[in-house]
Amino acid sequence: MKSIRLFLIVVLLSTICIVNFTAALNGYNRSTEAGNSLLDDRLKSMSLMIVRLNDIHGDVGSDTFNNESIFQIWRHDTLLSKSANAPSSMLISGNSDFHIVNSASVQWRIYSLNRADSDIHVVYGERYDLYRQLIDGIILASLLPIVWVIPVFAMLIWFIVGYGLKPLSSFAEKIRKRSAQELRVIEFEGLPNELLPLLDSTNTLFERLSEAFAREQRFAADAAHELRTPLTGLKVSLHNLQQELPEEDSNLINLQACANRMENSIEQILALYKLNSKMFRQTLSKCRLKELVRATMIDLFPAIALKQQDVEFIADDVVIDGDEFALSMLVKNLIENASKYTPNYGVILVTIKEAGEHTVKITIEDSGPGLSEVDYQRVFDRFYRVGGDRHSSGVIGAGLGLSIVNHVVTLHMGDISLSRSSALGGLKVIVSLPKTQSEESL
Amino acid sequence: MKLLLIEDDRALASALSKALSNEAFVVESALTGQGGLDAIGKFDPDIVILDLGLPDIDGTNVLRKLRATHKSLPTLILTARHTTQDKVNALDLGADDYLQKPFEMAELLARIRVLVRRLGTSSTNTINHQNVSLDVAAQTISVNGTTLIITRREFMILKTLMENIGRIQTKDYIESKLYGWGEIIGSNTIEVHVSNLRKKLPANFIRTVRGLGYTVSNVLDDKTQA
Repeated sequence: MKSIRLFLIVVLLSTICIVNFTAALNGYNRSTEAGNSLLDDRLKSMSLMIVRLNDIHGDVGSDTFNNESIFQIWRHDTLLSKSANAPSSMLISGNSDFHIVNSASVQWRIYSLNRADSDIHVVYGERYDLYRQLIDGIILASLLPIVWVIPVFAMLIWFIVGYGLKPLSSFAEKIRKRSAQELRVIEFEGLPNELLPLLDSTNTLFERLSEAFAREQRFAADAAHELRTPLTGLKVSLHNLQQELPEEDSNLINLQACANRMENSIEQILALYKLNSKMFRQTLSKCRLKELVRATMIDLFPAIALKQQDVEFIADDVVIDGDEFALSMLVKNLIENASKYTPNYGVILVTIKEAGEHTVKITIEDSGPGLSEVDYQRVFDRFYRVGGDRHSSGVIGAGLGLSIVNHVVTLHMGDISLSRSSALGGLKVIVSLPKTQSEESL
Repeated sequence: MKLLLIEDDRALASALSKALSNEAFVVESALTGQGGLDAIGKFDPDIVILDLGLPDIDGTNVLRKLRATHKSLPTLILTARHTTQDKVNALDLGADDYLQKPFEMAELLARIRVLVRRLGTSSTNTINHQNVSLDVAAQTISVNGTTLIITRREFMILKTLMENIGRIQTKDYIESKLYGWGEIIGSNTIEVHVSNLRKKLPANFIRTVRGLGYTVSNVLDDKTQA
């Protein structure tokens, strides 16, 4: 059942039709019966009247009756009198009874009266076909309106059902029109009692959802503070320790390496957490991709300079629908990876190019060893292990970084592909992003 | 040089105090916003380092109150919040600089040095890097002790780069800095000035990072030796 309205109309109309036709059929039968008994009563009394007239006058007079009735008066086998349209042979013999007889090519309803106290036998009839026509006409005239009225019924039901369902459809419309981010409780005046539980449970759901979001955001903010502040303390203390220790101390170097790794992981996890909640509450805006990527690269530059790698950035000035934070995380992770796997003095090239009217391509290529074609697939397997065991990946932080990349690409309905850089010989990552996001994805 | 540190995390506050003391700053530390505001009156610091996540008064409110009484007291914001909005808010409220946790100590010291130089006290007027030294007060640049003949704009550009050693400065940013100093510049003026500066400075002192901007690198370029 696709529509309540359609269902109600079909069911109600069929019910009305069935009930109406049953009633009409019943009425037809009853009316016919009543009409017949009325005719029979008249035939009987007319027959008695003819007998009496004959008794008194010895003659009825064949012109007494019009063409639509018929009679014969017999004494034993002798025809005493008859109407003009009656045959000379006996129409019906036998006892007092009603018959239907065809004579003079019309149908008659005939009563034959045999009186016990007399030897007179009277046969009297009237045009049964005409009578039937009359009766049928009357019955049909009373039944037909019931049939004519059915389309009117259908229309009335259509509007009434529609009116009755109006609160439901406007409720549905209200929910449909909400944007994904809107989690406020629905206010709805004049909702019928039947729909109140639906409103209540919908609102409960919205409340819980917005609480969950608020909790999540609070948690992310708290976690960020609780993790970053002690980590800063750790790093500053390590700096102090470095000043005090006479020379390069292997413990200190290990500690610094660990702190840096931890810093990296914490930032990745916080980013992933933030991206996860963005999956549900997208806040896309117009992003100037060139500025965004440039800012990210400038942030990353000190680490790249440490490896004395050359970076180059060639970009078309493109504006796309996107999430600034997510996009900068995408670029950051891909460039960090490129720098990580490219040896010292290597080259990293980042380009932004419009590919047709609707797509923009961000390409990150390096002069590192690259990956074999078998590895492309393996890396993608890891890409799609979102929510799975991210910890088992061999390279530190790579699983997290690639999860982030994958999240962002999915978030923007984009596409990612790996190949070998023809210009630099290393890995070439191409991220294709649509310039504008369709309505549904928002 | 007196430095007030307003940071509620005891471990971080004490580590920072120690690190800054090692750099010959006189450091006073406050663990609450109110304590910090009180200390400004008593201690009369030259520079304030302010954490935004304080237990009693929110850091932005501390900054607002501080600005009401001390309009030009150099203030550097530390924060664990990483949103652009937080940064914009802090700078709008009159913070001089903004640093996200966790940071490298070297980065914090570099930022503090910029603030110190802005104060104009004699001992810290010069920025030295490799064999180049830039005197902020005298507006001179010397290489190996020999003073160069440079224009005002060339000096401004190199100052911007040397105040941010190791980081890239975009052409747009340098242009906006020059505008800020009341200079009127054409579209390719920066390129021309940088090219002139390069002729006077040691080779590769100013590096161009294509598509990004200019930088004075803190990493010794040992490519030729490798």
